[in-house]
Amino acid sequence: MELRASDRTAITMHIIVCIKQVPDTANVRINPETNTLMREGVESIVNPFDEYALEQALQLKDRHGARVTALSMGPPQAEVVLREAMARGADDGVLLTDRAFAGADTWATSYVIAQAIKKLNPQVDMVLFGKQAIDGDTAQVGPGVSEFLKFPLVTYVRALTVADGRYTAETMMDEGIDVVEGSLPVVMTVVKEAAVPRFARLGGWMDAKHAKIPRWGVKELKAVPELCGLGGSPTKVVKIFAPPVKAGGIRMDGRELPSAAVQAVVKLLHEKGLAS
Amino acid sequence: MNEALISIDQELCRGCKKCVDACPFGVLYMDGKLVMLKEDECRGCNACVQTCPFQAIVAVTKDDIKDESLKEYQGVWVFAEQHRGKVQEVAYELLATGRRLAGDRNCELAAVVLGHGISGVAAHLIAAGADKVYLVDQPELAEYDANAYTDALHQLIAKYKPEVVLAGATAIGRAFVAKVAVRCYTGLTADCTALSIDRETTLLHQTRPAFGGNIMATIMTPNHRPQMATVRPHVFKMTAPDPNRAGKTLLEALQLLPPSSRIVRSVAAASSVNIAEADVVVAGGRGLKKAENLVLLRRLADLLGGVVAVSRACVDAGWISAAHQVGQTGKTVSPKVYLAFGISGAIQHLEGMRGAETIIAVNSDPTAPIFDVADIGIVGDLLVILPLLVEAIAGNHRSN
Amino acid sequence: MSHAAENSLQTDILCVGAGVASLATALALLRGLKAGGGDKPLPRVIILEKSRAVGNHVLSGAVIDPAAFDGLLTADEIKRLPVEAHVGKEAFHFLLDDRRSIGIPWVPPMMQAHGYPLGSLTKLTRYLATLCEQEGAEIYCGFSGAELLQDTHGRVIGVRTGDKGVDRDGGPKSNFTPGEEIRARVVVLGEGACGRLTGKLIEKHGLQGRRPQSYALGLKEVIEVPADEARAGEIAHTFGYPSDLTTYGGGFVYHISATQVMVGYAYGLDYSRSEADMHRLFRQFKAHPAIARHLTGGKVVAYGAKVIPEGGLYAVPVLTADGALIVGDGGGLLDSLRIKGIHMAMQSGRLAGEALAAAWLNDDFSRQSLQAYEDALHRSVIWRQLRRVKNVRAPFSKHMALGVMSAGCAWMTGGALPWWMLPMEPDHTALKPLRADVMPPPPAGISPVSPDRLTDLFMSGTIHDEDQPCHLKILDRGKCVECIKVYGAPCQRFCPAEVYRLEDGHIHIDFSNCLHCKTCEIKDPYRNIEWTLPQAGDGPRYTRM
Repeated sequence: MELRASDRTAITMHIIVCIKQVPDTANVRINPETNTLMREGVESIVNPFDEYALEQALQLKDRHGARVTALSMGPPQAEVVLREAMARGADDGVLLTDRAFAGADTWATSYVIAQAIKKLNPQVDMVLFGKQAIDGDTAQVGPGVSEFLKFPLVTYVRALTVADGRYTAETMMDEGIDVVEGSLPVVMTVVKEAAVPRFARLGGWMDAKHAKIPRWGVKELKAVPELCGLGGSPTKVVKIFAPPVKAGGIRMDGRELPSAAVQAVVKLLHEKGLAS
Repeated sequence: MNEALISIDQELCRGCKKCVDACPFGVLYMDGKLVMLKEDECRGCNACVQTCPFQAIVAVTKDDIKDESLKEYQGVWVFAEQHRGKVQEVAYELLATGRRLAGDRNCELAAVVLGHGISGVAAHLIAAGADKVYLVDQPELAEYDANAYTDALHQLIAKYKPEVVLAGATAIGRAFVAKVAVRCYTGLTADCTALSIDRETTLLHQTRPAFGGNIMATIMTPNHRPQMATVRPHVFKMTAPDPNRAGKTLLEALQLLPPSSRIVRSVAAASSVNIAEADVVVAGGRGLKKAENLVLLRRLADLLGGVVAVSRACVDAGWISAAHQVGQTGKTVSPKVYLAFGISGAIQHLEGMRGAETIIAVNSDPTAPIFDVADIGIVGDLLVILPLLVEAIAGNHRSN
Repeated sequence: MSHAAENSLQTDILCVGAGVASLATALALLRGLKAGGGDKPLPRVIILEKSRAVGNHVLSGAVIDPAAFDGLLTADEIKRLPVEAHVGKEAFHFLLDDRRSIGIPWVPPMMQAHGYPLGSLTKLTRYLATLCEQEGAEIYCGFSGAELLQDTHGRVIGVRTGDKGVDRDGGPKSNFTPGEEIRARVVVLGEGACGRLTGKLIEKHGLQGRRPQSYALGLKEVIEVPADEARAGEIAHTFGYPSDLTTYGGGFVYHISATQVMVGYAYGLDYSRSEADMHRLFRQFKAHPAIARHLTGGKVVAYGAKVIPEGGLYAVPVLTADGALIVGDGGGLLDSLRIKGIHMAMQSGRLAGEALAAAWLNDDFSRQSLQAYEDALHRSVIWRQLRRVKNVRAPFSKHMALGVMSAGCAWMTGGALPWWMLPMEPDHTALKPLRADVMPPPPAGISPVSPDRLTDLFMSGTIHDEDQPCHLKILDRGKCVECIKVYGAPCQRFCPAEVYRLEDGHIHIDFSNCLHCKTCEIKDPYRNIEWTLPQAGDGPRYTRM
């Protein structure tokens, strides 16, 4: 990938962006009879929050010059999300893939990803995650990786600037925005209120097509197999089932006697702890 | 003090340092040519045992000893999040649940509070059901910092070994508690909607949604402790406080590193809408007929402490911004109460509010599909019903 | 060999549209060159696809004439086609009215398809795409062909992709990305029916056929039914109700596996009844007992719509221009009697690929060189099939009986009779003014196997970024006023996706419901709607059509 002149002199930061390939969860359903996932017709996409994390990294690259490495843990077909990241502007991609990684919960996933980051480059400045993956919805891997790397953690970042080895981040907390400052290196999770992700250009795809994406498994990561995958996961899924189906309730005619209907609503709201 | 979970035979050790690299917790280190272990911090993950090419490290824990060591963990803890000395409501909700779990496990319920200048909160927590309150009141914890909070909670857990730790799935809870779980080498289940003690195994059953709520999963942490779970605010109910309850407060003095970041300024949440997080959503659709009628929704939303939302038709008509749109191409909401006025309930809209606990719908068309999912469905003119509803609720407020 | 600078990207072969025609072109080209030996390096072959993923905008029945794969796939690859059944029991029905039907005891020879692979075209397309990528072709989704690049002599030299990140007022959003120019030695247009660039090429270079193209709109659902192994492979075709005797309409039911049934209905867009509502007709069709019995206990899991080019031989344009080729449905290559175009699309792709292989080896992409494609096509089995049925479609617009006679005649004489071109009016001129007294009542109740249009639409997965300009351009709002008076705003009824809505005397457009079928552009009696390309990546998300 051709670097702009300004990049060549100014590459100081190494930013890792962790990206997950997830099913398009809007369409994932569970068969209520067999309690198995129905994956027919469900396509795989880049986890939307990770696109925002990638955009943050690319904006830092545009502004300051940086090397952006996209990282993903998944089966071989997950490679396409790394190519997409490279098509948008990431410099490299690495796929962490091994049968031993399958079935990992957030602990085992964080372990594997941290192993990879330790291997990548001792000078990692920033590791960015999307706030959460839309299949697991836990938001735990970013914090987990910060723990294994012993990097500080800043969560729910919606805007980010970096200068002289220090960051300033706007974080979306429950009661408002906290503007937080600290030193690199740091692990951050990024929210959807951050900058709108750019589109990958056709030229970017054409270049990314021929890029080599290394695949690292247990051996390359020097990972301990007992800490990986299902076996390494402290949590176990005991069962999955369909959420309760919302059935219709009572029907009232509010045309003749609207006040009766209104009273019924007020009563229900009372029961819910409202309107009193 | 932990029992040693591994044992190093210095005779066999060649100083190759593979174990030091393999340890995910950094508890092995080289002292000259010898490998040393920080015993207190070993989690027994056995990474080093697997890695050593010379079999110089052996796992001390056998299965029954492992089980014994699990039994050392007792008690249900609730992390009581506080902001500026005020305990968050979710803590009280969790104490109510924790009380039930502690009863089932026949153990104590404790609350943990971290902060600075917060000694006053202990009484509230005891009134809410805590038998004990662990209070850490130190300057390093004056403001939330992930590192400092993680360090503090982990030290307490290592010292007192609770069997279960619950925390609110708030912005703070979801972040640092995940670090604590990794540091403890244990399992954490986020956003639980149900918690119970399984009679047979005495394990904590943790139920939560996944795949955007399309699937429910029940999760357990069988072989690691503590069993940790976070729960969103308003999922469980508080119980009335009992000011006569007695309990102990333990002030813990911890060695803490300084925070890794600092908050330079805080900006209170603007009126910028995030309908996705609201507990009460008052929504309108095409049946509103004109933009001016949105004010009726606003009035009701204000009375109920909720937000105004709309179906796509209103956004397309230019009445309100897309930030308020619920549906397949808008936001997904899962409030306690969703009131739908003049919304037909086409599947594109339902997709955005299916997770609502209670749905109340008003529509003039008796065949509107929204009635298939409404707990109360009123066939009628919303322009008549909505003002009556507002009046009834405002009347209640006035008389209170 | 790409040059990611500001100006233009470079490739050797550029295909627009990742449908089976383009994929067959790429496959035949690359395999032909590899088999031919020689040291010349292979060309860079790039296929652009406007949908988000291969197959998302692909829809068909489908009973696939296995001739599709001749000379393209190995026997092993054919064995591994993603089909779960082959045609076994075939039935042919004439539906008399909403309750009665006559089973034609003998399936007409042209409709017979015993042993043909039966399955989803979306899946077949994805399968072919995998094979193409294995041969080295590059497929890039989320890129639309917005404009043909031409040099000063009018030779096609490449394509410009569509802009992305444009807000609803036409201004740039924060992620605005202008379209990129990609140059190629030849552009293969496999855009399907009503392709944008195909239309522009035909117009600019005067490639029109003897007659304007005419279309049918096909609506289709995938229905999950309780498992029934015995029925896999069973198919039925119908004609008659709910089409009247002057409309070329017919339906199908295909049991493509033990648990999935494809049901569809195609309605000739030269219909005259202004009150005809496409989705309603489809539901009426499914409600007919002869069809309903195939769907009992079922649930719709997918829905879609697409137009089928039915004009036949006389509507096929010239398929070669300077620097460009047209393959597949975009060239009107479809047997309008059997309603089969997949094998024609793939074989046209094969012939195009072979011609391009020769062009590559000779380093000659001149018009004369590209002409080899069309010449081969004229000598091919496909062309013979087109010639045979060249006059079958037209008389159906007059009356079904004439059409059937013409079909019989064509089949027996191999298309020799009648030898002159039977006339056919353009689709948009056929509509007659609305008679208010003839609006039919809504069909039978909503059920899992007969959803309303909005629910069906949800199952097409269609989605568009709503903050973009409306891609459906009404050229003259004044004509809408007249159309509402005379025809009763038929756009509300011929659109299978509830895009158009008459409210307060005004036509509202919900463009994000669009299924990209282009019926509106075809059928609008005033030719007042122009279908333009929305942002690439948007549109239906067919995964098992």
